[in-house]
Amino acid sequence: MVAGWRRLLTGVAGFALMLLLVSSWRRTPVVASSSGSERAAGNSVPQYLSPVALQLSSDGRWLYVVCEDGDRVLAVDTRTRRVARQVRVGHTPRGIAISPDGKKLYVSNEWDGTVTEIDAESLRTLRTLQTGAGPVEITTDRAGKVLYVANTLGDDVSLIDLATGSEIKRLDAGHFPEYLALSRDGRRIYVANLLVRGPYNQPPTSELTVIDPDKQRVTARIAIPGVIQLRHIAELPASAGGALLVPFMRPKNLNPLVQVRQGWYLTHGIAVIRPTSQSAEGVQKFQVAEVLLDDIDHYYADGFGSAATPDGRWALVTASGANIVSIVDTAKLSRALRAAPPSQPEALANRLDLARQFVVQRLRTGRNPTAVVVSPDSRFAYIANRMDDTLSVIDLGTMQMAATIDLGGPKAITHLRHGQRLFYSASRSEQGQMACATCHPHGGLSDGLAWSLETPQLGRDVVENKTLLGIDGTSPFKWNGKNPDLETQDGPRSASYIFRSQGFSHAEVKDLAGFILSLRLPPSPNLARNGQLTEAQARGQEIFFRGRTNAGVLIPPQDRCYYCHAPVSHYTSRVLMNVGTATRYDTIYAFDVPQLEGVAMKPPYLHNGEAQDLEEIWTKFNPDDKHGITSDMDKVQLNDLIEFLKTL
Amino acid sequence: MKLFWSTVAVFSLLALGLVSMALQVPVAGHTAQTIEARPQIAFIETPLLVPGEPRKRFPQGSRLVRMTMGAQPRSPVNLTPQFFAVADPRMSFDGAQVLFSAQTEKNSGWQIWEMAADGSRPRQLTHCLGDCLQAAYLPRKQIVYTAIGGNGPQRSSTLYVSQWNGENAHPITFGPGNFQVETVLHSGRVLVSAERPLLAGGKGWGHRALYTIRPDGTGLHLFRQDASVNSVRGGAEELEDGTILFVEGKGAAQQVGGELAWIPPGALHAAEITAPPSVYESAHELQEGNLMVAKQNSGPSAANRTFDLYSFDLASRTLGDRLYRQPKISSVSPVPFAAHPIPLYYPSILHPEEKTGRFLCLNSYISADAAHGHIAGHIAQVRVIVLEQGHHERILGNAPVEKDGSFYMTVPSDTPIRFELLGARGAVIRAQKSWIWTRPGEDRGCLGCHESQALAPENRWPLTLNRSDTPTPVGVPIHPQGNTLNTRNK
Repeated sequence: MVAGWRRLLTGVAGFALMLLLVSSWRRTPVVASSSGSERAAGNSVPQYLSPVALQLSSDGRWLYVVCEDGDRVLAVDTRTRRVARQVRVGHTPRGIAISPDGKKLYVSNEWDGTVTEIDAESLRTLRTLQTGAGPVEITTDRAGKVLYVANTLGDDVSLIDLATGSEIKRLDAGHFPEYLALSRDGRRIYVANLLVRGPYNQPPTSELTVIDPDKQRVTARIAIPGVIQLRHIAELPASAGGALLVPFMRPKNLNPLVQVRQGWYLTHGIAVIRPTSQSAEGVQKFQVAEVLLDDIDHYYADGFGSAATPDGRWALVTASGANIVSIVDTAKLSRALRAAPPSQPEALANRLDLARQFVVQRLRTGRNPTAVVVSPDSRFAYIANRMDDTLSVIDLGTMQMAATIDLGGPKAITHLRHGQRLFYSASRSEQGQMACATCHPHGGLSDGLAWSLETPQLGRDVVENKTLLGIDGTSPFKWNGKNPDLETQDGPRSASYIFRSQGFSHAEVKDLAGFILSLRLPPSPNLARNGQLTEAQARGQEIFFRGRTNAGVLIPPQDRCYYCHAPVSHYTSRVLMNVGTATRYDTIYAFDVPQLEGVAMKPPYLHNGEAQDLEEIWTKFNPDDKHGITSDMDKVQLNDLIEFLKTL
Repeated sequence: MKLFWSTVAVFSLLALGLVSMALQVPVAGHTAQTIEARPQIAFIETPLLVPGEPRKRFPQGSRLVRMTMGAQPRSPVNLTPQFFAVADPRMSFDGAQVLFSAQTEKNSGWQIWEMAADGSRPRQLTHCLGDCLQAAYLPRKQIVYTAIGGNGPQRSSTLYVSQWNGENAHPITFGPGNFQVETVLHSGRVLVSAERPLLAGGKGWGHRALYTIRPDGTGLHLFRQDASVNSVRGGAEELEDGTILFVEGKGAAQQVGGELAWIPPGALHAAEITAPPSVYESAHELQEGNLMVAKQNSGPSAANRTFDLYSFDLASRTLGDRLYRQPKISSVSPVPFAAHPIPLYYPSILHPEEKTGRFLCLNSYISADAAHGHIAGHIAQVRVIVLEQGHHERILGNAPVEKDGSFYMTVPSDTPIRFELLGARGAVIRAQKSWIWTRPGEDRGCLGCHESQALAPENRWPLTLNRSDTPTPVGVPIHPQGNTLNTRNK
């Protein structure tokens, strides 16, 4: 009888605890967007613009500028070089397209999961279209009937019927598709994926997804070996070879970080993707080459925007971490590629002296240059400088900077903005090889790679790169939990062991940490707007908080999910735990418990990134139930648990 | 000659006083602006300049002078009347101080000095037993300089780093090669010249190449593997865009100066900017794309061939106006008298308490000297040879080379060593010529063996790190905390 009461009380207590935890999960505070000091001072927080995407009208008269922090689109008169009109759009606009007749603009709102349709002349909002999760770049087909939207969080592309405004279908892309482009002949849509999936101990391979807009299906998945972070796609005209030029980062995460120089850590360049033959089914085939835009001893970090002149003679590629735009002579680029021995494509991709053969000019831009477009008459190129709220105008006749257009953002630089600028700048690393944003792209994501950073035991303690989104309140940092705060994480040790250069001053580290802590996770695309869980999600929630196995055996508290992944503190207990995942290449056994908020965004999993998806955590890397009791769960239960985790 | 310098000194002091007075006396706005707008330069004047060892450059003495560009008359101010010879002027980052090397007497040793930009408050920073010269400012109140010591064949030069006041001086090079400071790069690395290869008992001051080294003595690397550069005569500078400019000489150093050459960013090879018969002693960027150079005039006899200062347009590679000429006197080593950017600080991660350092080679098969850049045959081991006192070589031991060409070893730090790659039967496949070193606690990385600097590594896990017994101890005790595998983990 006593035992029965004890069981009953245990059950009631467990249920009450679960309710408490669930309610606290609902109340998880949102991280403020400004630093504490700025809030305390009572200052109104300036709203910076942060231009990231550009679209020219077909006649080149109007330049539409998408401002991700300003939540607006500006119309710049290219004759007067002044902002003429502007319109507010949704939350965190990232991409823009124009209808083939030039009458309508489409602007993606990444955090809303929508596209705003705008009248191009009046800048009046016409309607809002629903997309997939995390839309960034968009384009219409050549008829202007279907809108294609790269959904970063959904790993897919939405096809939206512009007549009805409804989504027709979604096509699977690679991982984190960010940018896409309609081919000049309108027969293909290319999708550049920012991140990769693959074994943690092998070089990454990126995917450029090819969609046939007539058939509305994926027709090719072009593998681009050894690189990540494909960005804007520029297509040369057929008369200039018809190649696609896509900026990338080429990581060396498998090499222990003993030095930075000589591209030991990473390099930056462009993939040159040339259409070759067609298959018997009429499917286009492609040939891929990779060349670096870096020079020996001088790196041009974080390739971002790319554009070609209408005749294809010149291509421009921005290095967002270096504040540089490189102007490429495409004929010389072709000659350099033809001269390379075809049997050694990797050797070509690792040459640091090749860029001199085809980069004819390097021009200094404003801070953090992102998108670049070329006027239809080939006279000017325009570059969006995200951290300056300006546009750089290049005279392509003289190959010199012609003007800087002030977009009208706040002139005072807050500590938060200063931290943001530092985050995107590679100036503090040896030879300018990397910025914080280099390994934390898209505003603080993990690059999804496992890096060998530890010394002196080289090759030991390889760790997966963590996200920076939503980490406020999740200290300590680092997988071994050695950094109690971000000031420690980003201070002198980062300068010494990562950047191998001056790093940041004390005041700069404070601003940088303030900015990083301000980074928020986007709303989960898997959670209904009203917070209501689906049946599967609710079942998964019960599993997450369960206290007994399927057989009814009591699970010790320390073996329950919520014990380590405590909802009251962003689903982490903020302590080191040994869950049996250490390998013989690790010098420690216990690791900092990662927070689960936004967990769906950040594969791979476990400290070394060896779990490619959530299910592998339990099915491959938890054989002894050290990582919670999970061995009794069937496939449906695991799926339910994953469905719940994806709502966080 | 003494009368000459005395006369010069008197006039210089007079001129200096007049300049000081002029700067203190209120003047009309227009005139004041004109004075400020004119750049000032400093340079060395000497009646005789000879090639070879740096400490013997000015056998008849020299002086550091300051001159306002464009001023008439062109009367430089002697800033160093109290010295017999002065060389290597460097402006501090804020433009307020001048660093230079000097001899107080004809037969005294060279020491590093610093003074205010107006020539006041000179103070001796070093008290070297031999000669210390060619100093350059480092960030965070440090300087790097060349120290020459020893006699006869044992005479050699070493690089030292100290505080700005000369305290805490310590060497940062630990092998032969007669290292000399050239400049400090924007990246914070020190650009140096030294013999090539870095041989014990080398050929003295003849065949020299450019190297880079961090201020803590780690990461010594040949700047470019360009066999066409037979000898760097010094005067290397980094331009605003990262181009390295230097004076190159053909063959042995039988003459002062040579042609101007450069290595633009990204270029694997140096290229000459000027061609014989013109001879340059040095060049320095005055404004972007515009140099001031010390060029030898074409006098009828060697005695008359002194150096004068000119402007030089880099884009067109043409000599511009003559900036200054003093008959029978050479004007050399010009530098702008102005503030300039501080290089990036390099944070050292050495462990001074350790007596060892480590070498990690990713792929010893890679070599720029081999056909197709790849050494043929099977490399089984790497042998480590140490250079001891008296230029004696001793085999320190061997370490295994994995099938991917990688090896990882621990060796004594601050000790000159070189490698030999061995086949399965112990035959030497390739032998390194230069002596290199690691610093205490340094993890020194090599892509290959004498690989091209234009080659970035593949993204590949080196097999040597899979071993439980690497880094292989070579000539050092087995480290109790080696790179062991954690057998308690899965």
